[in-house]
Amino acid sequence: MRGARSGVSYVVSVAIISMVTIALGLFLWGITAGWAGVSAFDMVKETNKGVAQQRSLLVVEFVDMRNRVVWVSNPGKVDLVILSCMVYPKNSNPPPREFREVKRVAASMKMSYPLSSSECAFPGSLDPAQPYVVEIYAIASTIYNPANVVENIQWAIVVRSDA
Amino acid sequence: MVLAIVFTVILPLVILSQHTYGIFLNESNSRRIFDADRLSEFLDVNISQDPQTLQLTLIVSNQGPIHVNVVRVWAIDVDRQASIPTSEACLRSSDTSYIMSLPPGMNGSVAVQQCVQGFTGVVQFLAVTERGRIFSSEKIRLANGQVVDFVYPFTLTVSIINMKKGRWYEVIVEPLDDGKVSPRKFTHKATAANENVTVAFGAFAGRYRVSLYENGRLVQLGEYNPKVIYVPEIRRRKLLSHARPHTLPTGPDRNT
Repeated sequence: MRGARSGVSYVVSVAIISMVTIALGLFLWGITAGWAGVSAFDMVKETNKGVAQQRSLLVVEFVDMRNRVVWVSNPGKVDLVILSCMVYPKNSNPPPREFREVKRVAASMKMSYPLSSSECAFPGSLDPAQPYVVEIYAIASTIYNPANVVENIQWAIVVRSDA
Repeated sequence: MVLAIVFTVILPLVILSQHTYGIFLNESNSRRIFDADRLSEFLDVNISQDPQTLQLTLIVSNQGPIHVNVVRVWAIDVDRQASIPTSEACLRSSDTSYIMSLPPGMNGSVAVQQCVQGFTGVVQFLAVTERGRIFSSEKIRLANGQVVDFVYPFTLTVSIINMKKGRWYEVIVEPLDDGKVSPRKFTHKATAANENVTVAFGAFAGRYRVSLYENGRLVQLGEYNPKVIYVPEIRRRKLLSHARPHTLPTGPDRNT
């Protein structure tokens, strides 16, 4: 009769259950740690972008209508990459924007930077007596990603100024 | 196991989250302070002309509560919306010093005659601060780099009649004392025979010598050319009321 009631010993069953429990725990730990790592990485990245945006500042000093030059300077704390620049009449809708790396502007008020007509879109004819708007998109160079235009625009600052 | 996960994963994540949030808040606060400082900047920019040398000077007064550094001065041709004399800012700070460094309440001045030398038109100066604010002066009209005075209390008119066709005529008005006149010279070429022209000169009170030249020679008109004229100063008459004026006693022996 004793031979008919053979089965897994108590020690073995405890060992198996423990191993399964430990494996599940390690799996859960791994999942949680992975999620936490990804979250931490994203959090640091987003914070960096937010900080870079807070440090970004661009000023349009003067728009030279005769020579078609927009003079800008950077009183902020981080170097900027100009992504788009356009001048358009104040009473009209802005023309379609084209985003590309136009110019880098160092974070120093010791210099002002010219954006010529090849770097900034001007209307065909300019009347100095009419009001115009200058619109510039710029992004901090620390978070600038040349491969991802959409991401750049998301974190860019926009400067609109009367000319 | 749950405790292990809490202490090794969740808790560090919460701490990191708080830390990054603190960094962002710190930066955001720093930017807010910077923006408040920028908005506190207040400069009064005025143009002055030396009466002796006729040189233009920009006088900048810091009316705000914080220290302001001026890093650039632009001279703008208002009519054409272009910078003068070149396409760049007229005055720029060097690597080691600012154009002006103004504590609160302080005034500073900088010579800007070189910016407008020989320029004719309406000019305006822009002062750019280190925090990126731009303050503008009033617009003034210049002729050949000098201020044109528009507000003259008197108008002196000179008529030239019966001019000869093709000849050049020149009227020169010279102040003989403290008088001031603008313009001092008028030149005209007669395009028809017996042409007449009347010229207006803005003038202050004073004595002036008016001379007429024809092709560079003084026109012989006897005592009328050159002619010394006197522009009197207008004194306002005191308007008396209908009531009899009162006489106040000046001493004890006088009756009222």
